[in-house]
Amino acid sequence: MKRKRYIGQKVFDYLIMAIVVMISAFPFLWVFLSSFKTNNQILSSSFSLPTSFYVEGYKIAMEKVNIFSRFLTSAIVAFSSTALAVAIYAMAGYVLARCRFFGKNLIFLLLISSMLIPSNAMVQPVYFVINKLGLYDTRQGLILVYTGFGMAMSLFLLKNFFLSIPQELEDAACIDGAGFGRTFWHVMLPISRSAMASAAILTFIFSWNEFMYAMLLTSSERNRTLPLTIKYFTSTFSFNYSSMFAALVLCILPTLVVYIFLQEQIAESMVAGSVKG
Amino acid sequence: MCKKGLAIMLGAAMMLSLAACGGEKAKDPAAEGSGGAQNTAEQGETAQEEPGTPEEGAGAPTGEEIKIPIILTTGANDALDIQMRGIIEDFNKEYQGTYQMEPEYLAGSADDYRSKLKMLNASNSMPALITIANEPAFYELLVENNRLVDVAPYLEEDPEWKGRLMPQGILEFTREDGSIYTIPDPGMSLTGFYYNKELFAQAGISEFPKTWEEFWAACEALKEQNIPALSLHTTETAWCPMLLATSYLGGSEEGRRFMTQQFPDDFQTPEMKAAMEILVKQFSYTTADAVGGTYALAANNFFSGNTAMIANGPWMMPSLKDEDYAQPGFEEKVGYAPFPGNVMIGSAGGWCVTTDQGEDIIEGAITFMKFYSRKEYAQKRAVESGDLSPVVEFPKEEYEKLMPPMKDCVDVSTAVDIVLPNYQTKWDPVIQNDVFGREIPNLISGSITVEEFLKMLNDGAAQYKEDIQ
Amino acid sequence: MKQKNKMWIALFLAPALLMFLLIYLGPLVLAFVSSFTKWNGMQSMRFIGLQNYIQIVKDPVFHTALCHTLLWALLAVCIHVPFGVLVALVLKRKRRGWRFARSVFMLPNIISRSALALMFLFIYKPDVGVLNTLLQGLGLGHLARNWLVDPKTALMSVTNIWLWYAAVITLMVFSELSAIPAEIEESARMDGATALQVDWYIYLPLLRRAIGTGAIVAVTAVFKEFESIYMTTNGGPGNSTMTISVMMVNKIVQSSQYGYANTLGIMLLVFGIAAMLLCNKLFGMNRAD
Repeated sequence: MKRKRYIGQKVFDYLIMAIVVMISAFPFLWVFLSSFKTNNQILSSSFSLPTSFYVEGYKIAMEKVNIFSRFLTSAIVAFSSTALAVAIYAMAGYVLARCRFFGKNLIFLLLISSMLIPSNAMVQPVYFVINKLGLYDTRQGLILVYTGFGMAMSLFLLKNFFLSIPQELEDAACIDGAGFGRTFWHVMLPISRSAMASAAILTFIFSWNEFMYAMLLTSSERNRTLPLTIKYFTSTFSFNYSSMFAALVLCILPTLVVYIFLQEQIAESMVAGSVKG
Repeated sequence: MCKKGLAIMLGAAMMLSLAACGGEKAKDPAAEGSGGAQNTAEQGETAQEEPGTPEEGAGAPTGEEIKIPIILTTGANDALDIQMRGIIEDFNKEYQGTYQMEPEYLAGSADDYRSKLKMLNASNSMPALITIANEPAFYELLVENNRLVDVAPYLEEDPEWKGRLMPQGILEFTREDGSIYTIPDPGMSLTGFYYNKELFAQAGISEFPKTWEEFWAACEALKEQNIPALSLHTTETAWCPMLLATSYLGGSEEGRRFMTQQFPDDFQTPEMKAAMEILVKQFSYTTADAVGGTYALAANNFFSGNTAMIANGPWMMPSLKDEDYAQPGFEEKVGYAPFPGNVMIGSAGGWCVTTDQGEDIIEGAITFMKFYSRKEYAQKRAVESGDLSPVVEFPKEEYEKLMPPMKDCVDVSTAVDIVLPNYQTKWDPVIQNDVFGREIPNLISGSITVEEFLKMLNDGAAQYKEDIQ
Repeated sequence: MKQKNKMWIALFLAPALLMFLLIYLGPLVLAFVSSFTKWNGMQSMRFIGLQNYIQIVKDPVFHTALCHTLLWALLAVCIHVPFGVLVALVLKRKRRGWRFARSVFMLPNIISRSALALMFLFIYKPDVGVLNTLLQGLGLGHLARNWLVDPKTALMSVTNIWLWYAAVITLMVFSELSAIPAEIEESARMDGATALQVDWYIYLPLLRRAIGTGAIVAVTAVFKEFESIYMTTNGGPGNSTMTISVMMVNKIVQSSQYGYANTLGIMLLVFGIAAMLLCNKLFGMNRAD
């Protein structure tokens, strides 16, 4: 009786796991396999395996859009905003966690409200600000916006981490005669590497994938990011399925590669980033 | 893409042109500092753009040359797009040291163009030359806000140039106070039907139907052979099916009058009702992917021989011969015909010069437009994309070299009875984006009736009037 | 020394405050102010009082969009989150291959939403789409349809693009579960409790706060959701997949009605905060354990 129950449990668990794997992996597999089929093969039987290794789709996709340049733009924008965000919010988080000063609570409340503002509710005003700063259609503009939106993800994660560091460490540094800057740089930063990594990963994933602001704040080919490529293919090129699938694969491949290497850290930071306030 | 087609048809050549090069003329002194910064920043961007593009290689422009921003699209394979690139190359050679056209190549669609244009406009950084005949409401807004140059004085100054432009276009673009904000193209192409002769033969149809009865009979005959008669789609304001539907309005006096109205506010007329019934009826003769599909998909269905007909303008001709799109020799099987009742659709198109870029660049843009309307280029456009007009002399020696559909095009464009303006230049954006964009699938599936749809058009028109009040 | 610290503090806070000013506060104020104006970006703002708000309250499209947004919030709490929790509870038993399942489950959350939406666009295609092919293969051809264009199925189809991909919730709950001492489960098992009973009576109450946080994360995400619609239906057919975000972007991009768009933005903000507070209350987030 008990054994039977265990088996039922086991079957249920494996069933759920199978469903999870299927719904998550299937779209990827299908797109990946289809990208090696010719347009006709896709049209005639969407389910079959590719009969030959057809790479023309990739060739055409790369001819139509300079995917490499877009990849580069995405990388520059995402790396810069990540680095900036981590630096800025580590500093602010540290001060908010460890220092006492006038108006601290007010500042904290102000900054925490950033978590309440959905990033896309402010599209037009942000556009306006970027425009007034003369940063429309520049990578700097995008970097600024992504760094800003990184606040909701990084600041509290970092602040909470600094709060959890025992006061003694800092005191010890103080006794050794280290100043404010040195304490931060040589004592606090090294031990908060994991928190910073989490903040960095979250900001990076956000910046790498962001679509709406990239669409509205850039116009020239040079400043278009990778996610926008997908929209371009659906609007002007939607009849050539094999190229579309190829373009899609090219767009998600970098993310997948990074994910394979960093999945544990990514999983960790996703958890860390969600535990709010 | 169809809007793009439209843009072209509007003589506006294929370039969905918006330049990133922003010369904000800071009207607001407070914004001057930032405006200036933007200017340099953006010009820097555009300049760096060049090496990536094929045309740029030649004489690297330097020094005191005045740079004239323009945007060309690279996504589609369009006659006017290709021609414009050539003209820009020639212009830049001839005017080296004085003027340089600075094209930015936009890998995008008409939709990207629409949003981009509006966004660039909000930052006062539109390119020097833009083509917006397919955005009549936006055009009005720009004129009202003094964002376009009145070209009437320039035309008066140079009667020889004016004589090279299509007279009907000049008439069309002259406003009540005598100002002209669009430089019309020398010619205009007329939109009709491409049809696949091979598939027609399979269904036992020997020539393209001339009346509506014959047309539907042909659709039936094709259907019996399991050939979807029409390439249709519902996105991008349902360009292909709307062309056929509105062409019906050419058959009656009232319908023709309706199509001349700018931003009509009453769509509940018997003619529109009949036209919208035709819109619905077409979808009994199309492919499974038509509802919800894009123009590109519809076009591909025609190019790959799945469907027998597609309504579109002659700017699509080069794609018939392009192996990216069709099998070699496909163009030989294709014919070009007017809509039933010998109706074709076409609106005069042209280019507008914006005030965003400052005096010197305006002069440069005008110079380029004079270059652009030279006889040789006008003739090239006539031969390659059917841009005809009384002032464009069709080079007779070229006729025999044309592929069959292009020959048809020249023939039928000169023998047409009725030319209707294209709805995209006449109807307001609420109707085109909100109502067409979202309700046409519902209309076709029958979840709303034609009457309800017409009511929605009226509501949309009222909404638009309210929005701009 | 003290004086010096003050300088350091100011220096450390300044960039964050500047960011806040530029990206949050400034735009928020601008959005708020312009929501009382008519503004097309070319002419200066024209004050029209509450007219935008009145128009929104009357706008049937907004009603539909709001309903859809709220429905999504509800689905997020009732399906998305529970599914995530269920997967976490299953993974916790560490059956063979659980790591693999977890990694794969995260994939759709890692790639850009626009890419995921495009994949679904293909899956739903009437002719080449794999869903219809699958149905036909199973002899259920009569169910095949043009999923994203049929008004009856469009909303459901778009919802599916995010509904089941609850990896973030799973990860959060999973990490919370790992913190619960194993003895609790063991002793309950000794008393003869089934796994289901353990999950229901022991784990779920302990997970309340984690699930609550998950719900808040999910609801916030729903209010931001944009690409999955924009890439597929853009609110159509009719308004059957319209949400506030999509409506707002269309007002900006298509008709340059910035005042009205910003009013929608403010609504999004207000409803978003309200939904979050509700979740907070629902899961007793402020209650001590």
